[in-house]
Amino acid sequence: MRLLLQLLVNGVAAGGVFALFTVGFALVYNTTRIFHVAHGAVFTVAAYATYAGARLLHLPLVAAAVAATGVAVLLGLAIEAWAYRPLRRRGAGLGALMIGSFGVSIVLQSVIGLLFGAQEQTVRSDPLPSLVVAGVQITGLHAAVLALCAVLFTLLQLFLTRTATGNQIRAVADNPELAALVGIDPGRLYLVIGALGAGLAGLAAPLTALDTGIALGNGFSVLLLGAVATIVGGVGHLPGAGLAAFGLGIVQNLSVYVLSPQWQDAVVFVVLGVFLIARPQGLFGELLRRS
Amino acid sequence: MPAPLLELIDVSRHFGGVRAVSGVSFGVEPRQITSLIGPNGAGKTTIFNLISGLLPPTGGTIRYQGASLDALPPQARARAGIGRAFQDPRVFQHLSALDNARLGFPGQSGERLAYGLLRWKRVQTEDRLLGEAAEAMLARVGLAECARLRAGDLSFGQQRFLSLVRTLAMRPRLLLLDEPTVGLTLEEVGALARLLRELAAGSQTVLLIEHNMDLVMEVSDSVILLVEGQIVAAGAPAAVKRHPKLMEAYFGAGHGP
Amino acid sequence: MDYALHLLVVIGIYTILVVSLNLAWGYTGLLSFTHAAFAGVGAYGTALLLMRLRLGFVPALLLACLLAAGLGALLCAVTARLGGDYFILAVLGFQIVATAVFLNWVSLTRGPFGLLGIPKPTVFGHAITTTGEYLALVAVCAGLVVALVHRTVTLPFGRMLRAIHEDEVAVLVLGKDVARAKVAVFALSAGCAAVAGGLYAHYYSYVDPFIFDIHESILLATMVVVGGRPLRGSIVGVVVLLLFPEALRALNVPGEITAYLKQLLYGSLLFAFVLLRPEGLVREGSA
Repeated sequence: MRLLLQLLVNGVAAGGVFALFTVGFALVYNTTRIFHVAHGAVFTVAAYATYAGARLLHLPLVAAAVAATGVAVLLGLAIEAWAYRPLRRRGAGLGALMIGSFGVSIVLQSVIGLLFGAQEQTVRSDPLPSLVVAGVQITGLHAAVLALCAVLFTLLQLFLTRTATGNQIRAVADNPELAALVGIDPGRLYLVIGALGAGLAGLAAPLTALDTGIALGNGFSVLLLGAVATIVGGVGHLPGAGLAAFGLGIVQNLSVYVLSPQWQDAVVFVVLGVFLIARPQGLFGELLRRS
Repeated sequence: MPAPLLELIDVSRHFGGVRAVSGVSFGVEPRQITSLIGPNGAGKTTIFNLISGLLPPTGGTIRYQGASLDALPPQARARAGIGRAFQDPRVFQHLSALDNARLGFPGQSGERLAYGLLRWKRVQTEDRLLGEAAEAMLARVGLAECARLRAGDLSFGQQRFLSLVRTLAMRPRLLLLDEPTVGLTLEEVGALARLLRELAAGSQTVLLIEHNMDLVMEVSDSVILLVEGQIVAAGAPAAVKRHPKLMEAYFGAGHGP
Repeated sequence: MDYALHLLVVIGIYTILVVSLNLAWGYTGLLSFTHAAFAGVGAYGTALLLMRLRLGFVPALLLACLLAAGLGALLCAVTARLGGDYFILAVLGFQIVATAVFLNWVSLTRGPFGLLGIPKPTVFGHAITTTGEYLALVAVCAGLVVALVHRTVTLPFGRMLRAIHEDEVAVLVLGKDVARAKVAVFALSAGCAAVAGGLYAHYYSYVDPFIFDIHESILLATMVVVGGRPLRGSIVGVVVLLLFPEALRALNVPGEITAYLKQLLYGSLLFAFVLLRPEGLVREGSA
């Protein structure tokens, strides 16, 4: 019983990290419709940046995390400006953009591999400050994740609904042709979205790095989870994606009770399968028919 | 009194807050040309998408040959005889004009993978015959020399006629034509009008969306005026032509709503 | 001389893979970063059926292909009616899960240790022992697969596939069953990929879960993008992309660095081609 509660707590915290990552992915996907594979690579780069900052440059942990987020934002801008925009300018369709995203992702991950090698690394050497409640350990990191989620999602919601740029972003997400007719310049918005999305991934990565360390193989797994959560939540529904990510984090962690942890990706895949068969529009989305 | 071939009953389609189509009801009589007219954004293409099954209605029902279409996906509606030509010709650019036309023919055994692989010779023969039929159809609209050309290399007008040939190859019971004269030269519009007259003489049922009023008045048996998602007038061409709402819809109000 | 034969065997095996992926992706537009997983099903399937159940090589290979085809059909059937992104996600997930299965179902696949000692095949009573004989086997299989794919694309079915790639909705309103066509072609594609996997397993006498992971799928995708849609393009893509690792080996670059350099090349080529030459090296002239 105590184990289950612990797994639940861990799951909520993991869910929080996934939610940050997923909302970043969903933000880009909902507005640009690009299957932004490179999002996973941004996550990986930020994780290794945290490691480099903390272990190689000996920065204090928080500083390393902040620096990593900054690196992620810059990377997000670079990807939009130097990868997606040139492709779009040559008339690339969504399929080609996605392949381009794959290419960028592979290049980034291989560079990380060349610089750091494949071994898993730990970032934090001291144990985390923690509290034990009813036999369950709640660490400072758990609390930090939840606090960050609360603050960031509130800020994001305010940004999207109260600012001019945010409203423009929502207009483009709802109806790109109409938005273009009304004179909204998508180029600038794509940069903003790219930076925001990457920033969210860049926040999620240090949190994971500080918790369980980093590994090169994580890029695609976390991308899979983010994409699945976006679909399970319902395409076009940002809070739904975040909620679904929380759910997946909890389900994944609870599944450790019965399955060995190596099956975590399979668990996510099974959830996807269930939704594709039973409810393809996701929890909150609407199934768009073609036209 | 024969039942209409197609019947829309109180059909609505909303997108978020926008009511693209509201409470639309009309019938399309068999062997007649019915025209759907109205200003841009009135919901005409949305109605076509609803009939083709590319969009589900938010309200109401559509009946075809007496039965409801609700459960049928687009390809089933097409097989039941509803042929759809889009506003944009949407020919397959990388295929030849001949291949485009051939794709219209229904029931091709060569389109089933297993059968095609096992009965190679028979499929080749059937396809050759279809090719001859397709060439004949292309010749009827003056595209005989273009048969082997890449569809993407044809002029816009040629692509328009090609897409019509492709749809007609389906032998549709109901032909949905969306603004066929857009982008055509005067000469081509004349050819299109001739084609429509031929179709009418051949008892083809057509639902036509058009802006070209001369053409509409000339070929239609019945006209429906759609404004902002609702039917505002319907009846014989001469009657609708004189309807005050028509002037208002096209040239703006000077009057109140 | 033996090295040249070995190289030809590898080219032959990859050609089968790339041709099958090209059928699904280049012709039909079904973007799949999962063909290595289908090859893995072919590899593990053939090896296990042969070693554990004592089936002959050809029956084992055929059964493994059927399994791969079934899995491909299932993936496609579930997502065919939904948008393209659902399909891409489903197949991506399949690749990741397949690697997890190969790695973790230890009782079946011996996990990270892989299957050792896979015997050389016996085809219709004739034991294949030398590299030259294996090349003949691979050449026959490659020939069959290429002929099958060529037939498929020259059928009216192939015409329909290319139309689906261009404009799926326009094909739907012509009354064609687009979903069924996609399922059929993806199943065929997966089955052919499995052939390559089975040939691989029995050539190297060894398989491990890392051979058929997402990085391999990415390599295959890069070969398709670089080569181009016509079937000749598939061979071009294979040869171009296999040259690089061979050059690295000749320069004695250490193993771990090689892996990342290869990835760097594939990713760069993928992006560069999509940006600068999306049709690939071999453009459509006649095919």
